[in-house]
Amino acid sequence: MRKPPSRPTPGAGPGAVDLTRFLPMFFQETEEHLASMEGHLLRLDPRSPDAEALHSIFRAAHSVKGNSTIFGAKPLADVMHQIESILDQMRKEELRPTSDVISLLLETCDAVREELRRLKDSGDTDQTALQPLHERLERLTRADTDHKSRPDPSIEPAAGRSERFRVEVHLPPGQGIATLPLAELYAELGALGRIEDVQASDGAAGTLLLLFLLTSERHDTVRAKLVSLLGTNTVRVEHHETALQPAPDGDAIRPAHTGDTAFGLFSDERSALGSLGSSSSSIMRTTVFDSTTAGRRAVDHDSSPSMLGRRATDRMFFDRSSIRVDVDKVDRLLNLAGELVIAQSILAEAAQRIGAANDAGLRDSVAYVARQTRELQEAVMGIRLLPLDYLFSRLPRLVRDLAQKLAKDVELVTQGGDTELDKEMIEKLADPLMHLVRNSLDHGIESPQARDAAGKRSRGTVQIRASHQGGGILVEVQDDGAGFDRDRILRTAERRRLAVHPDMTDEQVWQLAFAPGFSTADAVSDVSGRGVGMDVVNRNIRALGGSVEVRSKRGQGTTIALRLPLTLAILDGMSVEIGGESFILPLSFIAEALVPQAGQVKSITGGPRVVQVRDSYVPLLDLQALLHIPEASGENGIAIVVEADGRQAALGVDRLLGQQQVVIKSLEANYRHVPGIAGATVLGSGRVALILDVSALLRAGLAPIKGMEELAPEAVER
Amino acid sequence: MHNSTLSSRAGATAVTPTREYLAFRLGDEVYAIDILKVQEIRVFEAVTKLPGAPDYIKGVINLRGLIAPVLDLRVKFGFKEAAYGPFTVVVVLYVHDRLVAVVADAVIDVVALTEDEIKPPPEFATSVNVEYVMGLGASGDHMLILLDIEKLVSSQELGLFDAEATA
Repeated sequence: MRKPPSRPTPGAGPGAVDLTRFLPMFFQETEEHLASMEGHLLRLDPRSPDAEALHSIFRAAHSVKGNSTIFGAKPLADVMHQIESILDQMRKEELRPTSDVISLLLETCDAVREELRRLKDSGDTDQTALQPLHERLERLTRADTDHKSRPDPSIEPAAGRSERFRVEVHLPPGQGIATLPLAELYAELGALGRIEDVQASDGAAGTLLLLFLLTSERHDTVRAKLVSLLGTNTVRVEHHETALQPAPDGDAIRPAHTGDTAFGLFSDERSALGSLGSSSSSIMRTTVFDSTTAGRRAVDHDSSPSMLGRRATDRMFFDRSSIRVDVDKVDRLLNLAGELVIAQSILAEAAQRIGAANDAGLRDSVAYVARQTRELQEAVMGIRLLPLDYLFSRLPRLVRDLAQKLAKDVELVTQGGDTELDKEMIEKLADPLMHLVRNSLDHGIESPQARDAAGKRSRGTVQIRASHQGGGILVEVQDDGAGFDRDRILRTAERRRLAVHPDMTDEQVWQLAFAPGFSTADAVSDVSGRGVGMDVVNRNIRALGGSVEVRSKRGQGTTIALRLPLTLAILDGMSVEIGGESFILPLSFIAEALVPQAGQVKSITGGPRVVQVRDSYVPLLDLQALLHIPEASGENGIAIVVEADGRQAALGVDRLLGQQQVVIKSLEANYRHVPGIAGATVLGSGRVALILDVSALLRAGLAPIKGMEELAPEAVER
Repeated sequence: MHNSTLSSRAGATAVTPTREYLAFRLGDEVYAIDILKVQEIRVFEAVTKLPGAPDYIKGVINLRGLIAPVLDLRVKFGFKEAAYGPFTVVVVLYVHDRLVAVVADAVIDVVALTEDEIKPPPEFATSVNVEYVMGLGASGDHMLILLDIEKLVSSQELGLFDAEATA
């Protein structure tokens, strides 16, 4: 029954419609449907499943099935068909969505995703990869039907009762296959029976979509369904026996009937949109396709029972009036806007020079250009922002799987998912956030028994909150678990020969957990406890220009707060002068700046110096030496205390030039990595200033962190 | 869309088998670089020094938002004098998908040379820098030193790129 691996391009022979250009769309849409299925599955309450949610899952599975059939991915379509059957039984309350069933369905989503990836990479599906799942799904539906003794829709109807219909959908020339509401067509036909052998061909006479439908329904029913969807003039339904030759004849393709008042509008609209679609990209086509079906719905009073649900889908497509744009294009725009800001400040300086103060007109226009330029830059930057929901949507699945594995009862609450953050930042935040959630489940939340014993609710809570905070974003991961164990951390720290003393404040103790390779876990599980945990989180967040903060109370829980700048492209910096050169110090590393008085700077063993800051001595790093700046007139009169990787140091600079936002530029694009330098920026004058890499400077100037030298360098670096 | 202009230009180069070179002066010597590698010529402006860079890398400049290193071949080739005056320019080259600015005392001309007009470089045992000379040509009274700028810019010795980028 199974055919050899097929390319995802149906419709063989010359004149076949090339569907490959719709493939990216197919992948994207299927991915979205899967995500939606997953989301609904995770929220499903086994005791009283929400009918609307079941409906949504069913619809999503339906769409995936339909699309998969079009693109020749039969294994996917088969599995989705089974999911449909299962959902159908759930809707009829013949099957309970127990945790096992949901797990199996989620697993199916994963497998389908995997299969999609394979299809994307190699162009082929593995016909056998889904077989085990197929069988498990089959068992599930079978077991249930045996029990309930009702016919299983996933099994072909008995030969005697079912009939094979040949369905032809004709489109006049110039109207591509994409103008058809294909997903709905498949959904409707799929509900009637089994769709087989879909073919599409393109000829001079027009486009033909041909398929066979195996169903127990009557000819009238099938035809009525199709007509309500597509209109009489394009559809032809025949018993298969009477139409063996799939050749489109001239008669079959009748031109759009303009006299038909019911469909006249529809036809006109379609051909207009069709020609529009043919001249534009496939992305445009999606939008056109969706709005056509939605627009048609408005005039076509369909009374089918699933109407309500489909209206909802249409609305969803409608609301999302967005376009997909290559990130490179956005970055180019961002670059240009940044350039414009620089050009504008050069212009402003020039205007100042020629005495704009005396010319109100010039002064006003310069100010106007300045304002508009900055607004433009902000608007362009806004394009790159994505809501954090992008990340949060992955968490329910993670929490569910982990809780099951660890036999814990955990509730996940997310808040502020609409907070927006730079796309790149979101991508880089994913790993640390997942790690923190894993940590919370593994080390934070106790087992239900332990929680009962401690007088807590047996169900633990992990809360993720995001909010705007000043010029940045605050993301907090909070659990109501056991909290950090001070004594245990101290013991572990001692074992690892880290500097500890019993009088350390809690904050200082929590900082120990950020030491490389630090783990208090007794056993290494595959969840966490490998010792590349908190230090990696800390490092990654620091690399993004953010900071990590821990609040924990024994027995009550832990909150880990991540503070992040809005974007990676912009940095809040302090412009400083060292030996006649300007450098930018990222503000996020600066603790304070002071002018040391005579006697506040002391040398140790003749060489290295420390600066006294209140009651502690902070090592003073010679930036001039670290940056190889030849000894100039620099007086090093100002000490800036910086903090990185939990250590403090003071950097001597000559002058503070002021605080400013700078656009980060890569030095490596045209040159090489320079030790101690994180990047470059262009100042208002058009000159380049280097951005200091505080972490690297501290690593170069201070002794290695204790415990760090034991680890292989690659383990430390990443 | 601009097929007509493109094809006519392509046709023109096909008829004359010459290549064009940008000739510029470094001290008393005249060098020439494949003009297709040249992106623009700018007045020498103040550079931002790079920590720990070799002396022939003067620093970086801003090229409309892109940061490019400035290479002073006079220093690299060990000239006695490497002064910066009002006629000092930087020739911005686009080599191996990267931008690099090369300091020149002055730009002289664009010279067209056929393959026959290019003589092989003399083989010295002592000079490493000769390795980057593709050949010698002539234009008027000048002897042109044709630089293999790609080889020079991407050489490990110059250290313009990270090691893995050139590998």
